[in-house]
Amino acid sequence: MHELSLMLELRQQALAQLALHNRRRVVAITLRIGLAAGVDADALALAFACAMDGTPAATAKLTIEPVAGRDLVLAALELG
Amino acid sequence: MCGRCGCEPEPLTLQVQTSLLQRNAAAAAALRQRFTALGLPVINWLSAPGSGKTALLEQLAALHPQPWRLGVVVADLATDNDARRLQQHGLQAVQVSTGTLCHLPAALLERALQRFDLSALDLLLIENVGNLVCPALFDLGESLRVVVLAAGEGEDKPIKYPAVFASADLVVINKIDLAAALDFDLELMLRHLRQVAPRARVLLTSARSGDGIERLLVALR
Repeated sequence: MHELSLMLELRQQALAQLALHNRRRVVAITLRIGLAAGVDADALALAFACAMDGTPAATAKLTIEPVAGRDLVLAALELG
Repeated sequence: MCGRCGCEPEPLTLQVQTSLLQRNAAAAAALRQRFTALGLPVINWLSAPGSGKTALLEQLAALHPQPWRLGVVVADLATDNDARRLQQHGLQAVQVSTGTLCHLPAALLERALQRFDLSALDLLLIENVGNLVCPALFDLGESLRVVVLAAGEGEDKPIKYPAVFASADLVVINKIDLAAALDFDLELMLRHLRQVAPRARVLLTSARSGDGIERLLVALR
């Protein structure tokens, strides 16, 4: 499945923001997942752990907000 | 931690609001612009594995006046069987092996298109990975999206896979010659389809008997 490739994209975006704002670690990530996006929340959580392992986002708290529609949006990042 | 007194900075919350699909979306938008500039119609050909995507293309190739300036990009996890079958029917077909990837992303399509002279094509067709879930999410810059089903597949398939069917311009129900033998309830499937895709056009075909192929050819032009 492609939950992993989505989490790799998330990793890239999160780490880019971290560098841009000169912060040390990602504390929390909020994702909005469209209910028609064809993505499984549990598989996503597992892929998240795999993708972030060994990075400054490894201990980030992941919150998933289900919404209508087909998109997957990185809604918010909390940087420490 | 600050070097002077050891304090931690205040956490910074960013409202990022970026799509995780944006890279594919941007690549697809660029492809769509390119296709439009060329006046090239592009079909995204989707279905579950085994509905008859390749068989239908073979039938279309056999019926269409030769030579047909159709280019086909076939995506499968493994083997180049489908591209070979289409080449044997005189079509320009290029195979993309996606490895473990369950769909064809725009970036891989772009790479495959380097093997065509797009200005010498009248039509480009992308035979996607057999999968009703992931390909629905990945825009490829197409101008027409076709989803193929087969008689004998569950009549409730459309409501089980609403995203892909809702995105279809045309739904082809293939293997219609087997309907009676499989006790297939066409009317029930059509009712389910109408629930998720009220505006999609529906065609019935049989790649084996040739039924409906001519109508399909007209619909794809």
